[in-house]
Amino acid sequence: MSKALHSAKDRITAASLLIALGIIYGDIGTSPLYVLKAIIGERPIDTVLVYGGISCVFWTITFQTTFKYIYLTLKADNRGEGGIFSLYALVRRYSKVLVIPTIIGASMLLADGIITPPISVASAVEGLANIPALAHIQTVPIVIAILSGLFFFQRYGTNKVGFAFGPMMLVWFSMLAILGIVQIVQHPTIIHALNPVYAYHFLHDYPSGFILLGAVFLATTGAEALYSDLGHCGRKNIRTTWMFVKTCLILNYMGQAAWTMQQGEGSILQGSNPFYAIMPQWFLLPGILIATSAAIIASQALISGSYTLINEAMNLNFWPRVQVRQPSETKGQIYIPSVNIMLWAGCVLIVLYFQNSASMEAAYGLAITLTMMMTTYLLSFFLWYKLKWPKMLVVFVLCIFATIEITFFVANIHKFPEGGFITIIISTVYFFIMYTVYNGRKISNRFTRFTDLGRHVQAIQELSIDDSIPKFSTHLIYLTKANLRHEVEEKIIRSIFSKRPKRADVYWFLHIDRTNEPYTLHYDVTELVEDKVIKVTIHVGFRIQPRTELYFKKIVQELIQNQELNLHMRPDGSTKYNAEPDFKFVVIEKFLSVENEFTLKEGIVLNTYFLLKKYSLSDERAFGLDKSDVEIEYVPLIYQPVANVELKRFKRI
Amino acid sequence: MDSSRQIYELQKGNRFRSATFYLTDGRIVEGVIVAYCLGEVDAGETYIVMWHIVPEEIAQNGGWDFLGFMEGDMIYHYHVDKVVFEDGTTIYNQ
Repeated sequence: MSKALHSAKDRITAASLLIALGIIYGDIGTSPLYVLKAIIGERPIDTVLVYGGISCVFWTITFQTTFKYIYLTLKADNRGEGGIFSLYALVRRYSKVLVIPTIIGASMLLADGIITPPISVASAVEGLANIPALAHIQTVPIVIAILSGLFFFQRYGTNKVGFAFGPMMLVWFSMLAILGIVQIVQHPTIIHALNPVYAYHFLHDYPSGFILLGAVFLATTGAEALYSDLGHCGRKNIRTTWMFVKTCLILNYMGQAAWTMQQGEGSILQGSNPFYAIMPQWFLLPGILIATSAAIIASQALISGSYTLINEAMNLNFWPRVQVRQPSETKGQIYIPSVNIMLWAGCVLIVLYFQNSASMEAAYGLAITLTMMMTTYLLSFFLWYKLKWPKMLVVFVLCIFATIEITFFVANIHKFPEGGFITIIISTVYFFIMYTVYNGRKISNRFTRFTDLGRHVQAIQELSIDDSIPKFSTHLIYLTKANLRHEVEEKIIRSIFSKRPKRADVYWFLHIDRTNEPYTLHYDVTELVEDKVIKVTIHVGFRIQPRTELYFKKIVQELIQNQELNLHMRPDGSTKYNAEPDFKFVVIEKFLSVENEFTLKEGIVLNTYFLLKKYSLSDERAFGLDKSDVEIEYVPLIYQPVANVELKRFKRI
Repeated sequence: MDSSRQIYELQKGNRFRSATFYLTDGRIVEGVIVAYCLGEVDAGETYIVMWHIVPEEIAQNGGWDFLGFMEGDMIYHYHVDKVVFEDGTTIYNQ
C-alpha cells in the first residue's frame, strides 16, 4: 500500500469514523449480549458478585483492550496492516523461534472465530424469549438460518450492504449507552463498581470468583480481532472511535448491573438476560432486531477476518494454496470458498451441539487467551527491536500482560470439559495444517538444488538458434524460486535440455518474491544475454494475490515500449495468422520419490505436505496462470544419488 | 564468515572450478560443484546446506546420467572438514 493511501486511511473524518464503527467493533461491541449473564448465571445476586464482576470487566477492558491493544499493539502496524501474521512479518528476522507462537496464535484465533458468529447471533435471537407471545419459540433453526444466509451471501461481497454497517453500529452503541444510563440513574451507586477494590474482593472473597474470570474475559475477546482489522480503518480512526465505544460499553454493563442489583440481594435471575431485561417492554422487538443486526455485522467482521487471516497464512507459506476470489472491486475484499464452507459447517455444528448461547459461553474464550499470549510474545520483539524500547521496560510490559493473560488462561481452563475442547480440537487441526505446510515447504526447499545460470547461458544460446530442433515456443517462461539474478533451479536447466530440448527465442526466468510488506508490487529485470536470457523478479506483498500472467505481459509491454527488448519478430510472438501471443509457461511440480529415505519426522511432514498439496490449488492457478499456455512438469524430490543395487542377470539355459 | 558462503563465492562463475572436499569421516571427494541447496540463514542454517559434486569430466551433464539418474555425491556442508580448490585456496569449516 502506498504511503499516501496509508495516511489517507489514518485521516479522521465523520465518514471514516463511521466506517471504523461498522468494521472494527462487531465482536467486542456485541459482548454485552452475554457477559453479565455469564458472570451471574444462576448465582444469588450479591454486591461482591455484581459490583466485583463489573469492576473486573471495566479493568479488563482498560488493561487488555485499551492499554494493550488500542495503545500498544496498534503501534505494530505493518504498512497499515495489523493482525498476528503482519506482526510476525515485522519481527521474524529478529528471532528463529517466532514461527511456532505465530502458528499457535493464528490457529487459536481461527478456531475461536467459529464460536463468535453462533454466540452473537444466538444471544441476539434468544431475546425473543422475552416477548411473551414468542416465549417458547425454537431459536436454533432461526440462528442456523441467519448464519447460513450470511455465509451464502459471502460470494457476493459486502459492497451493497457494507455502507449500512457504520450507521447500524452507531445505532447499536447509542442504544447500549441509553439503556445503560436509564438504569444507572435508578441505581447511581453502581458507579462505585469502577473502584478496583471491588475487583479484588470479587477475586479474593467471592467463592469461585477466580473461575468466573473466564466469563469476565468474554468482554475483551474481540480485542484480537480489532487488531486484525487495523488495515481497514487506520490507527487514528480506531483510537478515536474506541473512546466512544468504550464509554457505551461500560455504560451498558453498569446499567445491566444496576438493574440486577435492583432485583434485590439473594434473588436469582432464573435464566433472564440482564441485557434484555433493561429494555422497556415496548422496545423489545426493535431492540432484538437491532441486536440481531449488530450480531450479523459482528459475524461478518469475523468471517472477513478469517478470510484475511487464511490469505496471509497462504502468502507466508503457512497454509496450502486455496482458491481466493475477489467478490467486488473493493481493494482487500476477498472471498475464499473453502474457508467459507469450513466456517459455515463449523458454526452450524457449534449451534447444533450447544443449542443455546449460555452453553456456548462455557466454551468461548479459552483459545483466544492463547492467541493473546502469543501476540504479547511477538509484540515484545516489536517493542524491543523496532521501537527500541529499553530492555527492562519491554520485560516489564511483557511480565504485566503475561501475568494477566496467564491468569485468564488458568481461569478459562475449566471451560475445556464444558465445550472448550471443541475449539482446542479445531485449533489443533489448524495448527497441524500450518505446521505441516510451513515445515514441508521448508524441507522441500532445502532439497531444491540451485545452479549458476551463467554456466548454461552459452548452451541456451546455441539451443535457441539450432534449427534442427523444433521450436517449442517464442517466449518460454519458467517460474523460479531463486532470489539471486545469476541463479536458477537445477531442475529448470534439466527441463530445458533433457529429453526433448525446449527451443525458444527468449528464455525468461520469473521469480515471485513475497515481501514482508502487505501491498508491495514492483519488479526488476536483468538481461543475462540481451534479448535472449532474461531474469525478472516481481516483488509482491503478502496480502496480494499474484496474477503472474498479467504482470508478465505488462512487463514485456513496458520493455518493448522502452526499447529495452528489441525482438526481431512480432514483439509478442504472434504471427500474421494468429494474433494471440506465443507465451509458454512451464511450472515444475515436485513429488515425493521412493529413492529418498527421510527421518520419521521429516517423512510424516513431507507425506502430509504432499497429500495436502494434492488437494489444494494447483501451482498454475495459484500463480494466476490458469488462462495461459502452461506446461506442468513433474520432477521427483531427490536429494541423494541412487545407491548401488546388486541386480544380477539370470541366464536362461 | 560462514564457510559455506566462502566456498559458494569461490565456485561462483561461468566455469566449473575443480575442488577437493575433505570430509569429517575421512572421505575425500574430488570434482566440481554443479549445484547446491540453499539453507535458511534466518533459521540459523548455513548459507549452503548441501553440495552436489561430480567428477569434472561429466560436469557438463549437470550431474545426471543419460537415463536421468543422479551422479556424483551430495554432501551436507556440516560433513565438510575443508575444501581445497585447484589453485590451492583452502577453506576450513569451523
